[in-house]
Amino acid sequence: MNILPTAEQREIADAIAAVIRHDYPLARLAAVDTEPVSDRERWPAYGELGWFGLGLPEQLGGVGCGAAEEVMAFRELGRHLGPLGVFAGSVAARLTAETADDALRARILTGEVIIGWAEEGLDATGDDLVLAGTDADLLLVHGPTGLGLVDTTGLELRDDTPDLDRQISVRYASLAATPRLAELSPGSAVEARATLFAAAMLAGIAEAVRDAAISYATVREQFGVPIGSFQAVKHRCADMAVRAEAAWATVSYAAVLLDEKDDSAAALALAAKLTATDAAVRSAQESIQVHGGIGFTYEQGAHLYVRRAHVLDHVLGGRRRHLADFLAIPTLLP
Amino acid sequence: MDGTFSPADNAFRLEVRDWLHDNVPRGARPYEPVDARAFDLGWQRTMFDGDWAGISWPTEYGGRGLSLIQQMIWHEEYARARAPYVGVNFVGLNHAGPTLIMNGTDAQKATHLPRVLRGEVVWCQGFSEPGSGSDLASLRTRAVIDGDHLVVNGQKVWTSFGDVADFQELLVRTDPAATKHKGITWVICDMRTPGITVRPIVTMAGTRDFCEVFYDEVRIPIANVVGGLGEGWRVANSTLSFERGTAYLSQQIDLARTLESLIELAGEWTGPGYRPLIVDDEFSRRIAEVRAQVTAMRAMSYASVSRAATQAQPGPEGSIIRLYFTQLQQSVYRLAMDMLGHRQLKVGAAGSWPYYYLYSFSRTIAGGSQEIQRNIIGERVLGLPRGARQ
Repeated sequence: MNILPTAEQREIADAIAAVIRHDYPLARLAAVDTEPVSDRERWPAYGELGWFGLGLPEQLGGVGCGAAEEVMAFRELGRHLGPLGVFAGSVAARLTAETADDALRARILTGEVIIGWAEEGLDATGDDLVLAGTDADLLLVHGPTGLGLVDTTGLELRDDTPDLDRQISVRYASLAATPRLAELSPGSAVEARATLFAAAMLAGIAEAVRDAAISYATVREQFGVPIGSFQAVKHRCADMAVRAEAAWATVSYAAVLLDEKDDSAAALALAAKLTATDAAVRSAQESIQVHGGIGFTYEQGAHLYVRRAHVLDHVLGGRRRHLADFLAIPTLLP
Repeated sequence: MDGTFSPADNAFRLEVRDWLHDNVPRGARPYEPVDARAFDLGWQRTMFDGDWAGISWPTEYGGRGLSLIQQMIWHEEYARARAPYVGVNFVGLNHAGPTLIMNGTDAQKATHLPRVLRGEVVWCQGFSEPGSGSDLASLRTRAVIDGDHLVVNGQKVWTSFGDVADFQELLVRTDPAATKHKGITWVICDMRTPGITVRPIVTMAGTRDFCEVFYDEVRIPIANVVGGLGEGWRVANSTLSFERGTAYLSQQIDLARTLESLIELAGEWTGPGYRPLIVDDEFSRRIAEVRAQVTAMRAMSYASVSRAATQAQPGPEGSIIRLYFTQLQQSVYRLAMDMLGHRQLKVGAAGSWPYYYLYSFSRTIAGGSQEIQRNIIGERVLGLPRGARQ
């Protein structure tokens, strides 16, 4: 029993982080009018690297790692504000493995098709939420009926007004009548795994904003001393560290349980999502306050994490729904 | 990351479970210090007879010398069996005992350690003073050398179970000329020595479980000094390396159980419109939030134990889990208090929800206030610069 990552797991995560930093450098986001990076050019290389099948068994075309390695990878994708499509693609590969759609799975794993994410049945309007769907060939739809894959060909995507997170296009569509290429009923292990991946990305954000706040509080001087020496600032940073620790510990523990096929894995994944959402959103907000005036500028970029955290909150249903689902779990005693 | 336990550890778990099932006291632990002393020492003796005393202590000092994983299993099973709070044995088992193991002379160890394990003596702590709380090293209780004795004058405060204790781990200033941290000495104080007056303090919850202690020309043999004159600050801190985060496990499971019972009650208690609280928008969300935090706390405990297994010395990260846990304890009882509605206005007997609510205010103060924990996290975990203080 040890829920800390091994050296090998760290290496995998470091390698992924290096690619993301190179392909999606944060510096590109410093200007307000930057065009999003094209996933299309990069996807075959990521397929080659095995990113979409990191946790899938080798006989299914995957790398053969477990949830433990996957959460390490998604933490880095979160930390570096990487493309959402890696997440959607990984879940789609897992879904098609469950439903034995071998041909489709092969195309997902090689990076030939790009997957977007959709949330169905969020409110009474009938408008379903499509995230990162403008470049996507397929959408992974999550909703009350479970998980499904749909083709975007001919799908009407509405509302191209500016998005909260400029790297993730948000559109509305009506998905109810769209045929499913593959589907899984609600409460599947794939859904739990997807919830955990989103939590891992949020945990990465919580760590990124904590680190940014600490760096700034260490170098920024006022009244002749670094602002991090003031308890008002230091204690804010300490609370960020506590939230980040809670988020990552819960993600790690859930990953271990998922790899053990433990009955409580889905509940822990939900707890991880709740804990990590709280950590990412609140610490990202606090980080802007620690940065002061410069944190309010577009160029400095502290706001990018707030934006991304809000997007990831809505993946797999959103905080309010997760709270209701989590309370509905009968008992949670170890 | 590895979530599995070895066959030996699984077998160990069953052994622990069986023993606890057969031996955990049936009655509730009393609240009054004198009764609590008898109860806690009796339970300690039972554990000693079953070879379960001092599970983290090395075997050469009569402990069980369990691995970290097995300590963790013990604490999990301990909580699951609803075994009693460590109570009056806390300082002896978790603080004074380990301090003697790390710093005591052979004679000191031989005299005191077996008696702690056998449940024969109660130890208390004499660290804080009226003028020295968070700034402990500013303590002023004086000890002057007179032949082969120290003569102590001064006052200590917040001494839990001071009125039922036999011995005290006492920090005194032996060298007023030395810098703040250098002139302190750690000494074993027999609580029956003439000149000691113990006065219980009533807590805001109405309990009498801590005291102030006055020292008037109290003569303590120099042979009772542990780790050398002027070494007190180092000796007091050496004990920290003994706490590896496992003790949180049983408390954490207790808290999880408390919350689960609160969730059950939320299905029974009603609010406006006579509807159960569990379907109330505000309460259902708050309960779920606290439940997620309790779950996160369990994961943090595992992370803490995992980290401890790879470190020679526990790091300052312990303050993170401590801060989280103490705040969480308060959140649970504040939630309970709000759920009670007008019923919160009756405290009733010790052990009621309002009683625990009142008691929970101590959590973020005792043993290092949450402000101090945040300083430790900020400075020693995150590397932020120290602020304007000595």
